[in-house]
Amino acid sequence: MMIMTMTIRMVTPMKPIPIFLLVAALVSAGTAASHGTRGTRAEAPQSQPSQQPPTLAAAMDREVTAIEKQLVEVAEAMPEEKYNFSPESLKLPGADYKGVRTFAGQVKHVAASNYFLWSPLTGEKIPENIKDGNGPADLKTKAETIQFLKDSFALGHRAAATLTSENSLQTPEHSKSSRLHLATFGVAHAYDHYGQMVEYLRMNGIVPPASRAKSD
Amino acid sequence: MKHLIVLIVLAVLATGVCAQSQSQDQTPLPARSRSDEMLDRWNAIGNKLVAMAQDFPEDKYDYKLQKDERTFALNLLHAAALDFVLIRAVAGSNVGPDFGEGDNPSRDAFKTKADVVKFVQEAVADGADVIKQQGDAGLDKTTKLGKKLHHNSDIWMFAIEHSAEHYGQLVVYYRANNMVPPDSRR
Repeated sequence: MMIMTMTIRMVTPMKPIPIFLLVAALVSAGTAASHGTRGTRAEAPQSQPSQQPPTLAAAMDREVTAIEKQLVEVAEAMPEEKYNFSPESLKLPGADYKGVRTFAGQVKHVAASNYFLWSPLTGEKIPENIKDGNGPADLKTKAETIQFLKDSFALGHRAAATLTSENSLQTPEHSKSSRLHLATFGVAHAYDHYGQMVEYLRMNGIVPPASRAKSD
Repeated sequence: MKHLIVLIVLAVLATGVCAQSQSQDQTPLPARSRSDEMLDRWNAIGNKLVAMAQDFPEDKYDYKLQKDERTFALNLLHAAALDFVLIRAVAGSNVGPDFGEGDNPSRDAFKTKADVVKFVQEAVADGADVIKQQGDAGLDKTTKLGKKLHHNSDIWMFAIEHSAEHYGQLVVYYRANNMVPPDSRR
């Protein structure tokens, strides 16, 4: 899934990103470069008979790799002294952020969710310090928090490797969802929180890494 | 976001994810297919954006949290427009309204809340139709974007993830306006 390894995402940029950049991003992980500007009207039917599709495992692994890169970069972009930042602290007029997750809480939540969603695919036991979706309470530093995130994505890669066309629609033990559902939901869920973390960065005057190259 | 915590915990409980023992596959879910799974993901995030579009007050549609960001309405228009760009490529047809070049439609073309809601609804519905029509075979077909062929399954997943990212941003916009996102109210 070449598009999952894209380096450009539409992260509320300072300037709208032309569609040709999206296309370039889609292409970036492939073998050919794109320089065409694509209109929003499809010029001609484009779907073609299948080339050999990537295996499900390979495709999902690229998904995991892409969101892992985005999230780790965002986690690294936030200064350690801001890791406990919550929008609540800004006391924005008319806002109600009471009780929302801190930045570190967002990172830990994504990682903990990764464990809950992807462990059934590998059959691995969830670490004992993960009691719920908030993640371990004993992570104190930025480095520890990022490592926890990275470890959860390491599990994601192992989980992706288990997917086959034969088992993807089967339910792992203790789950009511298919393997494919668990795998893809984990990625989509992470993007949701990535979007929130991007806002947290901007609230602190930090341009998200994915937006920097084309923001100025 | 407290509600989100609850939802996640419930989701985890619902899935019975204990991961205490070796996974053991069971009977395949009946009448499910890869395209069914894709359709579920597509509708899940698409309908969340529709709910936001319908729910957010019209007089706040041009709100943005930081000066260098898209407004609430422009976030929705962008997410839906990109959907249309990709749907059109995969379907090979010009579905949806004309919104000009690129994937950042102007408010000039979507002046009212109703216009924006309709646009987002159409994107979600049109994408769902294509996924259903093409089925599993469609996921394995390739579509040319630029000079490169991409498997349609990759394109759909990208659209879903892109929408999820913007949904997350709009969650923060909601809280900034003393509002709870629709999906967090359950």
